[in-house]
Amino acid sequence: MLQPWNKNGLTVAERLQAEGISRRGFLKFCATTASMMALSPSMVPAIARALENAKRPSVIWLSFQECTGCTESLTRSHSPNLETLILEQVSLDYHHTLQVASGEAAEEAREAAMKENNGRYLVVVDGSIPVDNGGVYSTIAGITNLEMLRETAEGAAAIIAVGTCAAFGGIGYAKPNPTGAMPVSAIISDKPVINVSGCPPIPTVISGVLAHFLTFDKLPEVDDLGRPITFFGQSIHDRCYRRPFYDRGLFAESFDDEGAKKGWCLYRLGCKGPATYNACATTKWNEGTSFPIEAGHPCLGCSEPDFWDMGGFYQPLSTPTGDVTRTLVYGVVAGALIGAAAGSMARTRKIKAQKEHYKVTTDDLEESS
Amino acid sequence: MNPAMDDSIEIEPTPCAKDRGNDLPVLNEILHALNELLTHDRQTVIDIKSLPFGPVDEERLSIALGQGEVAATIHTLGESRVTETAYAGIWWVEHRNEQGAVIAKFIEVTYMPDILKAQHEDVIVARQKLKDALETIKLNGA
Repeated sequence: MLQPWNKNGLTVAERLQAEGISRRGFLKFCATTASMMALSPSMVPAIARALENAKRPSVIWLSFQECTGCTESLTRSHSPNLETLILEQVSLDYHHTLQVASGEAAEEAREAAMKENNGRYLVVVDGSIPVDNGGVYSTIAGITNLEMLRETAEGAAAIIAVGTCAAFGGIGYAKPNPTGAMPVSAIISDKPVINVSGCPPIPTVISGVLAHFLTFDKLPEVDDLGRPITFFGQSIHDRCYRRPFYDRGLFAESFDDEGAKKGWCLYRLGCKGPATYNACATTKWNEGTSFPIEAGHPCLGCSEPDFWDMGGFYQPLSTPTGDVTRTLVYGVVAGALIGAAAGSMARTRKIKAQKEHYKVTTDDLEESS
Repeated sequence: MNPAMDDSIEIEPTPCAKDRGNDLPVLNEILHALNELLTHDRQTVIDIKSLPFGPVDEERLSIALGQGEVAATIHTLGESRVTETAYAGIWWVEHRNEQGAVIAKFIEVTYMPDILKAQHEDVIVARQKLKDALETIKLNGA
Protein backbone atom coordinates (compact mmCIF):
# COMPACT_ATOMS: atom_id res chain seq x y z
CA MET A 1 0.00 0.00 0.00
CA LEU A 2 1.30 3.43 -0.83
CA GLN A 3 2.14 5.57 2.14
CA PRO A 4 1.59 9.31 2.17
CA TRP A 5 4.77 11.27 2.82
CA ASN A 6 5.43 11.15 6.53
CA LYS A 7 5.17 14.71 7.72
CA ASN A 8 5.28 13.97 11.45
CA GLY A 9 9.01 13.23 11.26
CA LEU A 10 9.01 10.16 13.49
CA THR A 11 12.12 8.02 13.47
CA VAL A 12 11.90 4.29 12.80
CA ALA A 13 12.24 3.48 16.51
CA GLU A 14 9.55 6.01 17.40
CA ARG A 15 7.21 4.64 14.75
CA LEU A 16 7.61 1.09 16.04
CA GLN A 17 7.05 2.31 19.60
CA ALA A 18 3.95 4.21 18.50
CA GLU A 19 2.64 0.95 17.04
CA GLY A 20 3.01 -0.70 20.47
CA ILE A 21 6.09 -2.72 19.58
CA SER A 22 8.41 -3.25 22.54
CA ARG A 23 12.14 -2.56 22.66
CA ARG A 24 12.59 -6.31 22.50
CA GLY A 25 10.62 -6.26 19.26
CA PHE A 26 12.84 -3.43 18.05
CA LEU A 27 15.90 -5.62 18.79
CA LYS A 28 14.32 -8.43 16.80
CA PHE A 29 13.68 -5.98 13.96
CA CYS A 30 17.35 -4.91 14.08
CA ALA A 31 18.61 -8.51 14.16
CA THR A 32 16.48 -9.55 11.20
CA THR A 33 17.42 -6.34 9.36
CA ALA A 34 21.14 -7.12 9.87
CA SER A 35 20.54 -10.61 8.53
CA MET A 36 18.61 -9.18 5.58
CA MET A 37 21.43 -6.74 4.82
CA ALA A 38 23.86 -9.69 5.01
CA LEU A 39 25.75 -7.81 7.70
CA SER A 40 27.47 -9.48 10.62
CA PRO A 41 25.23 -9.98 13.68
CA SER A 42 27.84 -7.96 15.58
CA MET A 43 26.47 -4.94 13.69
CA VAL A 44 23.09 -5.14 15.45
CA PRO A 45 23.91 -2.52 18.14
CA ALA A 46 25.14 -0.11 15.42
CA ILE A 47 21.98 -0.77 13.39
CA ALA A 48 19.84 -0.14 16.47
CA ARG A 49 21.61 3.18 17.10
CA ALA A 50 21.21 4.21 13.45
CA LEU A 51 17.54 3.20 13.25
CA GLU A 52 16.79 5.20 16.38
CA ASN A 53 17.52 8.32 14.32
CA ALA A 54 16.50 7.13 10.85
CA LYS A 55 13.57 8.87 9.19
CA ARG A 56 11.46 7.63 6.33
CA PRO A 57 12.94 8.51 2.97
CA SER A 58 10.73 9.27 0.00
CA VAL A 59 11.04 6.62 -2.71
CA ILE A 60 10.07 7.07 -6.36
CA TRP A 61 9.93 3.75 -8.20
CA LEU A 62 10.20 4.02 -11.99
CA SER A 63 9.24 1.01 -14.12
CA PHE A 64 10.55 1.28 -17.66
CA GLN A 65 11.14 -1.42 -20.32
CA GLU A 66 10.47 -4.35 -17.98
CA CYS A 67 8.25 -7.35 -17.26
CA THR A 68 7.26 -6.40 -13.66
CA GLY A 69 9.10 -9.50 -12.44
CA CYS A 70 11.23 -7.40 -10.12
CA THR A 71 8.18 -5.89 -8.41
CA GLU A 72 6.59 -9.35 -8.29
CA SER A 73 9.72 -10.68 -6.64
CA LEU A 74 9.51 -8.10 -3.89
CA THR A 75 5.77 -8.04 -3.30
CA ARG A 76 5.24 -11.80 -3.55
CA SER A 77 8.00 -12.53 -1.10
CA HIS A 78 7.14 -15.30 1.33
CA SER A 79 8.35 -13.28 4.28
CA PRO A 80 5.93 -10.39 3.84
CA ASN A 81 6.21 -9.09 7.35
CA LEU A 82 9.84 -8.10 7.06
CA GLU A 83 9.43 -6.63 3.58
CA THR A 84 6.24 -4.91 4.67
CA LEU A 85 8.00 -3.44 7.66
CA ILE A 86 10.74 -2.10 5.43
CA LEU A 87 8.23 -0.72 2.96
CA GLU A 88 6.32 0.89 5.81
CA GLN A 89 9.51 2.60 6.87
CA VAL A 90 9.89 4.23 3.47
CA SER A 91 7.41 6.55 1.82
CA LEU A 92 6.70 4.92 -1.51
CA ASP A 93 5.35 7.96 -3.34
CA TYR A 94 5.22 6.67 -6.91
CA HIS A 95 4.99 3.15 -8.34
CA HIS A 96 2.93 2.36 -11.45
CA THR A 97 1.91 -1.11 -10.40
CA LEU A 98 1.18 -0.48 -6.73
CA GLN A 99 -0.24 3.03 -6.64
CA VAL A 100 -3.94 3.74 -6.69
CA ALA A 101 -3.63 7.00 -8.61
CA SER A 102 -3.37 6.90 -12.38
CA GLY A 103 -2.92 9.27 -15.28
CA GLU A 104 -2.25 12.90 -14.41
CA ALA A 105 -2.77 12.32 -10.68
CA ALA A 106 0.03 9.73 -10.69
CA GLU A 107 2.43 12.07 -12.42
CA GLU A 108 1.46 14.84 -10.01
CA ALA A 109 2.39 12.54 -7.10
CA ARG A 110 5.83 12.01 -8.62
CA GLU A 111 6.36 15.70 -9.19
CA ALA A 112 5.16 16.56 -5.66
CA ALA A 113 7.51 14.01 -4.10
CA MET A 114 10.41 15.38 -6.15
CA LYS A 115 9.64 18.94 -5.14
CA GLU A 116 9.07 18.27 -1.44
CA ASN A 117 12.13 16.08 -1.04
CA ASN A 118 14.53 17.64 -3.49
CA GLY A 119 18.04 16.25 -3.02
CA ARG A 120 16.90 13.64 -0.48
CA TYR A 121 14.64 11.14 -2.23
CA LEU A 122 15.61 7.72 -3.47
CA VAL A 123 14.87 6.56 -7.01
CA VAL A 124 14.35 2.87 -7.72
CA VAL A 125 14.40 1.85 -11.38
CA ASP A 126 13.40 -1.48 -12.87
CA GLY A 127 13.67 -2.10 -16.60
CA SER A 128 16.07 -0.87 -19.24
CA ILE A 129 15.80 2.49 -20.96
CA PRO A 130 15.37 2.56 -24.75
CA VAL A 131 17.36 5.41 -26.28
CA ASP A 132 17.15 4.83 -30.05
CA ASN A 133 15.08 7.37 -32.01
CA GLY A 134 14.84 9.65 -29.02
CA GLY A 135 13.56 6.89 -26.75
CA VAL A 136 10.11 6.65 -28.39
CA TYR A 137 9.87 2.89 -27.82
CA SER A 138 8.65 3.28 -24.24
CA THR A 139 6.75 6.25 -22.86
CA ILE A 140 4.70 6.96 -19.74
CA ALA A 141 2.12 9.76 -19.81
CA GLY A 142 3.69 10.92 -23.07
CA ILE A 143 7.13 11.20 -21.49
CA THR A 144 9.89 8.95 -22.74
CA ASN A 145 11.61 6.72 -20.19
CA LEU A 146 14.85 8.49 -21.02
CA GLU A 147 13.39 11.91 -20.26
CA MET A 148 11.62 10.71 -17.09
CA LEU A 149 14.79 9.10 -15.75
CA ARG A 150 16.91 12.20 -16.36
CA GLU A 151 14.26 14.49 -14.88
CA THR A 152 13.65 12.33 -11.78
CA ALA A 153 17.33 11.59 -11.17
CA GLU A 154 18.20 15.26 -11.05
CA GLY A 155 17.02 15.81 -7.49
CA ALA A 156 17.68 12.29 -6.21
CA ALA A 157 20.06 11.40 -3.38
CA ALA A 158 20.79 8.04 -5.00
CA ILE A 159 19.43 5.55 -7.52
CA ILE A 160 18.89 1.81 -7.08
CA ALA A 161 18.83 -0.06 -10.39
CA VAL A 162 16.74 -3.13 -9.55
CA GLY A 163 17.01 -6.17 -11.81
CA THR A 164 19.41 -7.06 -14.59
CA CYS A 165 17.56 -4.87 -17.12
CA ALA A 166 18.08 -1.67 -15.11
CA ALA A 167 21.54 -2.74 -13.98
CA PHE A 168 23.03 -4.07 -17.22
CA GLY A 169 20.35 -3.77 -19.93
CA GLY A 170 19.05 -7.33 -19.54
CA ILE A 171 16.86 -8.89 -22.21
CA GLY A 172 16.14 -5.54 -23.86
CA TYR A 173 19.88 -5.04 -24.34
CA ALA A 174 20.33 -8.57 -25.73
CA LYS A 175 21.21 -8.87 -29.41
CA PRO A 176 19.92 -7.38 -31.63
CA ASN A 177 18.72 -4.76 -29.10
CA PRO A 178 16.06 -3.25 -31.40
CA THR A 179 15.18 -0.35 -29.08
CA GLY A 180 18.71 0.70 -28.18
CA ALA A 181 18.09 -0.38 -24.57
CA MET A 182 20.59 0.90 -22.01
CA PRO A 183 21.12 0.41 -18.28
CA VAL A 184 20.68 3.26 -15.79
CA SER A 185 24.42 3.67 -15.23
CA ALA A 186 24.95 4.38 -18.95
CA ILE A 187 22.65 7.38 -18.72
CA ILE A 188 23.11 8.77 -15.22
CA SER A 189 26.69 9.51 -14.26
CA ASP A 190 26.38 12.30 -11.68
CA LYS A 191 24.48 10.40 -8.97
CA PRO A 192 25.35 7.31 -6.90
CA VAL A 193 23.86 4.31 -8.74
CA ILE A 194 23.79 0.86 -7.17
CA ASN A 195 22.98 -2.24 -9.20
CA VAL A 196 20.81 -4.94 -7.65
CA SER A 197 20.99 -7.37 -10.54
CA GLY A 198 19.16 -10.65 -11.02
CA CYS A 199 16.29 -11.81 -13.20
CA PRO A 200 14.54 -11.23 -10.91
CA PRO A 201 16.68 -10.07 -7.99
CA ILE A 202 16.30 -11.89 -4.68
CA PRO A 203 13.57 -9.99 -2.77
CA THR A 204 15.65 -9.91 0.39
CA VAL A 205 18.50 -8.29 -1.52
CA ILE A 206 16.17 -5.52 -2.75
CA SER A 207 14.87 -5.03 0.80
CA GLY A 208 18.40 -5.26 2.16
CA VAL A 209 19.66 -2.38 0.02
CA LEU A 210 16.57 -0.30 0.89
CA ALA A 211 17.16 -1.13 4.55
CA HIS A 212 20.80 -0.10 4.28
CA PHE A 213 19.85 3.29 2.86
CA LEU A 214 17.14 3.70 5.48
CA THR A 215 19.49 2.72 8.30
CA PHE A 216 22.72 4.42 7.36
CA ASP A 217 21.44 7.13 4.97
CA LYS A 218 23.83 5.96 2.24
CA LEU A 219 24.21 3.11 -0.20
CA PRO A 220 26.29 0.06 0.74
CA GLU A 221 29.79 -0.64 -0.56
CA VAL A 222 29.79 -1.95 -4.14
CA ASP A 223 31.88 -4.23 -6.37
CA ASP A 224 33.38 -3.31 -9.75
CA LEU A 225 29.96 -3.74 -11.39
CA GLY A 226 28.27 -1.44 -8.89
CA ARG A 227 26.59 -4.25 -6.91
CA PRO A 228 26.47 -4.40 -3.10
CA ILE A 229 29.45 -6.47 -1.97
CA THR A 230 27.60 -7.95 0.98
CA PHE A 231 25.32 -9.83 -1.43
CA PHE A 232 27.47 -10.07 -4.58
CA GLY A 233 30.93 -10.46 -3.06
CA GLN A 234 31.25 -14.18 -3.66
CA SER A 235 30.40 -16.42 -6.57
CA ILE A 236 27.54 -18.90 -6.50
CA HIS A 237 30.18 -21.60 -7.01
CA ASP A 238 32.20 -20.57 -3.96
CA ARG A 239 29.12 -20.65 -1.72
CA CYS A 240 27.45 -23.67 -3.35
CA TYR A 241 26.75 -26.65 -1.10
CA ARG A 242 27.62 -28.87 -4.12
CA ARG A 243 31.13 -27.41 -4.25
CA PRO A 244 32.62 -30.47 -2.43
CA PHE A 245 31.44 -32.65 -5.36
CA TYR A 246 33.19 -30.32 -7.80
CA ASP A 247 36.37 -30.55 -5.75
CA ARG A 248 36.18 -34.33 -5.90
CA GLY A 249 35.49 -34.35 -9.66
CA LEU A 250 31.95 -35.71 -9.28
CA PHE A 251 29.67 -34.29 -11.99
CA ALA A 252 26.18 -34.93 -13.32
CA GLU A 253 26.54 -35.59 -17.06
CA SER A 254 22.83 -35.37 -17.87
CA PHE A 255 19.65 -34.42 -16.00
CA ASP A 256 18.65 -38.01 -15.34
CA ASP A 257 21.88 -39.87 -14.70
CA GLU A 258 23.14 -41.23 -11.40
CA GLY A 259 25.17 -38.10 -10.74
CA ALA A 260 22.07 -35.90 -11.07
CA LYS A 261 20.11 -38.18 -8.74
CA LYS A 262 22.90 -38.03 -6.17
CA GLY A 263 23.05 -34.24 -6.32
CA TRP A 264 26.52 -33.96 -7.82
CA CYS A 265 27.99 -30.79 -9.33
CA LEU A 266 26.12 -29.38 -12.37
CA TYR A 267 29.15 -27.75 -14.00
CA ARG A 268 29.08 -29.95 -17.10
CA LEU A 269 25.37 -29.25 -17.58
CA GLY A 270 26.13 -25.59 -18.11
CA CYS A 271 26.13 -24.22 -14.57
CA LYS A 272 27.33 -20.60 -14.64
CA GLY A 273 27.89 -20.58 -10.86
CA PRO A 274 31.68 -20.08 -11.14
CA ALA A 275 31.20 -16.89 -13.16
CA THR A 276 28.12 -15.59 -11.34
CA TYR A 277 28.08 -13.40 -8.27
CA ASN A 278 24.90 -13.37 -6.19
CA ALA A 279 23.52 -14.50 -2.83
CA CYS A 280 21.26 -17.34 -4.08
CA ALA A 281 23.36 -20.09 -2.45
CA THR A 282 22.97 -18.64 1.02
CA THR A 283 19.93 -16.33 1.05
CA LYS A 284 17.99 -18.72 -1.21
CA TRP A 285 14.43 -18.34 -2.54
CA ASN A 286 10.87 -19.14 -1.48
CA GLU A 287 11.17 -18.51 2.22
CA GLY A 288 14.78 -19.70 2.20
CA THR A 289 13.71 -23.09 0.87
CA SER A 290 16.25 -23.59 -1.89
CA PHE A 291 17.79 -22.12 -5.04
CA PRO A 292 17.99 -23.37 -8.64
CA ILE A 293 21.05 -25.59 -8.12
CA GLU A 294 19.44 -27.15 -5.04
CA ALA A 295 16.40 -27.88 -7.23
CA GLY A 296 18.68 -29.67 -9.72
CA HIS A 297 19.10 -26.97 -12.36
CA PRO A 298 22.31 -25.20 -13.32
CA CYS A 299 22.70 -21.51 -12.49
CA LEU A 300 21.89 -19.40 -15.58
CA GLY A 301 24.06 -16.50 -14.44
CA CYS A 302 21.11 -14.08 -14.46
CA SER A 303 22.81 -11.48 -12.28
CA GLU A 304 25.71 -11.02 -14.70
CA PRO A 305 25.92 -8.59 -17.64
CA ASP A 306 24.98 -10.06 -21.05
CA PHE A 307 23.77 -13.36 -19.60
CA TRP A 308 21.29 -13.74 -22.47
CA ASP A 309 24.11 -13.65 -25.00
CA MET A 310 26.52 -15.99 -23.24
CA GLY A 311 26.09 -18.76 -25.79
CA GLY A 312 23.59 -21.18 -24.26
CA PHE A 313 22.30 -21.93 -20.78
CA TYR A 314 23.34 -25.60 -21.01
CA GLN A 315 26.79 -25.08 -22.46
CA PRO A 316 29.60 -25.61 -19.96
CA LEU A 317 31.71 -22.55 -19.26
CA SER A 318 34.84 -24.14 -20.67
CA THR A 319 33.37 -24.46 -24.18
CA PRO A 320 33.18 -21.42 -26.50
CA THR A 321 30.49 -19.04 -25.35
CA GLY A 322 30.56 -16.61 -28.28
CA ASP A 323 27.92 -16.56 -30.99
CA VAL A 324 29.43 -19.14 -33.38
CA THR A 325 26.84 -18.48 -36.09
CA ARG A 326 27.71 -14.81 -36.15
CA THR A 327 31.43 -15.63 -36.24
CA LEU A 328 30.85 -17.74 -39.35
CA VAL A 329 28.86 -15.01 -41.10
CA TYR A 330 31.46 -12.34 -40.38
CA GLY A 331 34.18 -14.65 -41.69
CA VAL A 332 32.43 -15.27 -44.99
CA VAL A 333 31.51 -11.63 -45.53
CA ALA A 334 35.10 -10.55 -45.00
CA GLY A 335 36.29 -13.26 -47.34
CA ALA A 336 38.89 -14.20 -44.77
CA LEU A 337 39.90 -17.80 -45.01
CA ILE A 338 41.02 -17.93 -41.41
CA GLY A 339 37.72 -16.51 -40.23
CA ALA A 340 35.81 -19.00 -42.32
CA ALA A 341 37.92 -21.85 -41.04
CA ALA A 342 37.35 -20.75 -37.43
CA GLY A 343 33.65 -20.40 -38.12
CA SER A 344 33.56 -23.82 -39.67
CA MET A 345 35.33 -25.30 -36.64
CA ALA A 346 32.94 -23.56 -34.30
CA ARG A 347 29.99 -24.82 -36.30
CA THR A 348 31.33 -28.36 -36.11
CA ARG A 349 31.73 -28.04 -32.35
CA LYS A 350 28.26 -26.58 -32.06
CA ILE A 351 26.70 -29.47 -33.98
CA LYS A 352 28.74 -31.93 -31.93
CA ALA A 353 27.71 -30.27 -28.70
CA GLN A 354 24.07 -30.39 -29.78
CA LYS A 355 24.32 -34.12 -30.50
CA GLU A 356 25.91 -35.06 -27.22
CA HIS A 357 26.64 -33.50 -23.90
CA TYR A 358 29.91 -31.69 -24.27
CA LYS A 359 32.59 -33.33 -22.13
CA VAL A 360 35.30 -31.33 -20.46
CA THR A 361 38.31 -32.47 -18.51
CA THR A 362 39.11 -31.62 -14.92
CA ASP A 363 42.01 -29.51 -16.20
CA ASP A 364 39.56 -27.48 -18.28
CA LEU A 365 37.42 -26.91 -15.22
CA GLU A 366 40.33 -25.79 -13.10
CA GLU A 367 41.55 -23.39 -15.80
CA SER A 368 38.18 -21.74 -16.27
CA SER A 369 37.17 -21.41 -12.62
CA MET B 1 6.09 -39.89 -14.76
CA ASN B 2 6.92 -36.48 -13.43
CA PRO B 3 10.47 -36.74 -12.05
CA ALA B 4 9.40 -34.53 -9.15
CA MET B 5 6.93 -37.28 -8.11
CA ASP B 6 9.50 -40.06 -8.40
CA ASP B 7 10.29 -40.97 -4.80
CA SER B 8 12.96 -43.42 -5.94
CA ILE B 9 15.23 -40.42 -6.55
CA GLU B 10 17.32 -39.77 -3.49
CA ILE B 11 19.57 -36.78 -3.24
CA GLU B 12 22.89 -37.74 -1.71
CA PRO B 13 23.82 -35.53 1.20
CA THR B 14 26.81 -33.27 0.85
CA PRO B 15 30.01 -35.33 1.36
CA CYS B 16 30.50 -35.40 5.08
CA ALA B 17 32.41 -36.80 8.04
CA LYS B 18 35.76 -37.90 6.70
CA ASP B 19 35.17 -35.97 3.48
CA ARG B 20 33.99 -32.33 3.58
CA GLY B 21 30.69 -31.73 5.35
CA ASN B 22 29.33 -28.18 5.44
CA ASP B 23 28.22 -28.60 9.05
CA LEU B 24 31.62 -29.62 10.40
CA PRO B 25 33.32 -26.24 9.89
CA VAL B 26 30.40 -24.61 11.73
CA LEU B 27 30.80 -26.99 14.67
CA ASN B 28 34.49 -26.07 14.80
CA GLU B 29 33.57 -22.38 14.69
CA ILE B 30 31.14 -22.92 17.58
CA LEU B 31 33.87 -24.67 19.58
CA HIS B 32 36.15 -21.71 18.95
CA ALA B 33 33.35 -19.38 20.07
CA LEU B 34 32.96 -21.32 23.33
CA ASN B 35 36.67 -20.81 23.98
CA GLU B 36 36.20 -17.08 23.35
CA LEU B 37 33.29 -16.95 25.78
CA LEU B 38 35.23 -18.71 28.52
CA THR B 39 38.56 -16.97 28.10
CA HIS B 40 37.56 -13.45 26.99
CA ASP B 41 33.87 -13.29 27.95
CA ARG B 42 33.15 -12.54 24.29
CA GLN B 43 29.85 -13.67 22.77
CA THR B 44 29.46 -14.86 19.19
CA VAL B 45 26.44 -14.82 16.90
CA ILE B 46 26.39 -16.90 13.71
CA ASP B 47 23.76 -16.09 11.07
CA ILE B 48 22.62 -19.44 9.67
CA LYS B 49 21.40 -17.75 6.49
CA SER B 50 24.94 -16.71 5.65
CA LEU B 51 26.12 -20.33 5.52
CA PRO B 52 26.21 -22.38 2.29
CA PHE B 53 24.11 -25.23 3.65
CA GLY B 54 22.70 -28.02 1.51
CA PRO B 55 19.41 -29.86 2.05
CA VAL B 56 20.51 -31.82 5.13
CA ASP B 57 23.35 -29.77 6.56
CA GLU B 58 21.22 -27.72 8.95
CA GLU B 59 19.37 -30.82 10.11
CA ARG B 60 22.67 -32.57 10.74
CA LEU B 61 23.95 -29.56 12.69
CA SER B 62 20.75 -29.48 14.74
CA ILE B 63 21.10 -33.20 15.59
CA ALA B 64 24.75 -32.73 16.50
CA LEU B 65 23.94 -29.88 18.90
CA GLY B 66 20.97 -31.63 20.48
CA GLN B 67 18.35 -30.32 22.89
CA GLY B 68 19.17 -28.58 26.17
CA GLU B 69 17.37 -27.53 29.34
CA VAL B 70 15.90 -24.17 28.30
CA ALA B 71 13.25 -23.32 25.73
CA ALA B 72 11.55 -19.90 25.58
CA THR B 73 9.02 -18.31 23.25
CA ILE B 74 8.82 -14.56 22.65
CA HIS B 75 5.73 -12.96 21.14
CA THR B 76 6.66 -9.74 19.38
CA LEU B 77 6.46 -9.03 15.62
CA GLY B 78 5.61 -12.71 15.28
CA GLU B 79 7.00 -15.55 17.35
CA SER B 80 10.65 -16.04 18.29
CA ARG B 81 12.01 -19.20 19.84
CA VAL B 82 15.13 -19.36 21.95
CA THR B 83 16.37 -22.84 22.83
CA GLU B 84 19.54 -23.95 24.50
CA THR B 85 21.34 -26.85 22.87
CA ALA B 86 22.68 -29.86 24.74
CA TYR B 87 25.86 -27.81 25.14
CA ALA B 88 25.46 -25.07 27.75
CA GLY B 89 26.06 -21.62 26.33
CA ILE B 90 25.14 -22.60 22.77
CA TRP B 91 21.66 -21.37 21.76
CA TRP B 92 19.39 -21.45 18.74
CA VAL B 93 17.53 -18.15 18.21
CA GLU B 94 14.84 -18.38 15.55
CA HIS B 95 12.72 -15.38 14.51
CA ARG B 96 9.44 -15.87 12.69
CA ASN B 97 7.11 -13.29 11.17
CA GLU B 98 3.40 -12.96 11.94
CA GLN B 99 2.62 -15.50 9.23
CA GLY B 100 4.87 -18.06 10.91
CA ALA B 101 7.66 -18.01 8.33
CA VAL B 102 11.24 -18.13 9.57
CA ILE B 103 12.85 -14.77 8.74
CA ALA B 104 16.16 -15.16 10.57
CA LYS B 105 17.97 -17.89 12.45
CA PHE B 106 21.08 -17.59 14.57
CA ILE B 107 23.35 -19.68 16.73
CA GLU B 108 24.35 -17.58 19.71
CA VAL B 109 27.26 -18.58 21.92
CA THR B 110 26.63 -16.64 25.12
CA TYR B 111 25.51 -17.08 28.73
CA MET B 112 22.10 -15.66 27.83
CA PRO B 113 20.85 -14.26 24.48
CA ASP B 114 20.15 -10.51 24.74
CA ILE B 115 16.64 -10.87 23.37
CA LEU B 116 15.61 -12.85 26.46
CA LYS B 117 16.54 -10.07 28.85
CA ALA B 118 14.00 -7.39 29.76
CA GLN B 119 15.08 -4.23 27.95
CA HIS B 120 15.81 -1.04 29.90
CA GLU B 121 13.40 1.05 27.77
CA ASP B 122 10.62 -1.50 28.29
CA VAL B 123 11.23 -1.49 32.06
CA ILE B 124 10.79 2.30 32.16
CA VAL B 125 7.48 1.95 30.32
CA ALA B 126 6.51 -0.94 32.60
CA ARG B 127 7.13 1.16 35.73
CA GLN B 128 4.76 3.85 34.45
CA LYS B 129 2.15 1.34 33.39
CA LEU B 130 2.21 -0.35 36.79
CA LYS B 131 1.93 3.03 38.52
CA ASP B 132 -1.10 3.84 36.37
CA ALA B 133 -2.61 0.43 37.08
CA LEU B 134 -2.18 0.93 40.82
CA GLU B 135 -3.83 4.38 40.62
CA THR B 136 -6.76 2.84 38.80
CA ILE B 137 -7.08 0.12 41.43
CA LYS B 138 -6.99 2.75 44.22
CA LEU B 139 -9.56 4.90 42.45
CA ASN B 140 -11.87 1.94 42.06
CA GLY B 141 -11.41 1.13 45.73
CA ALA B 142 -10.42 -2.45 45.01
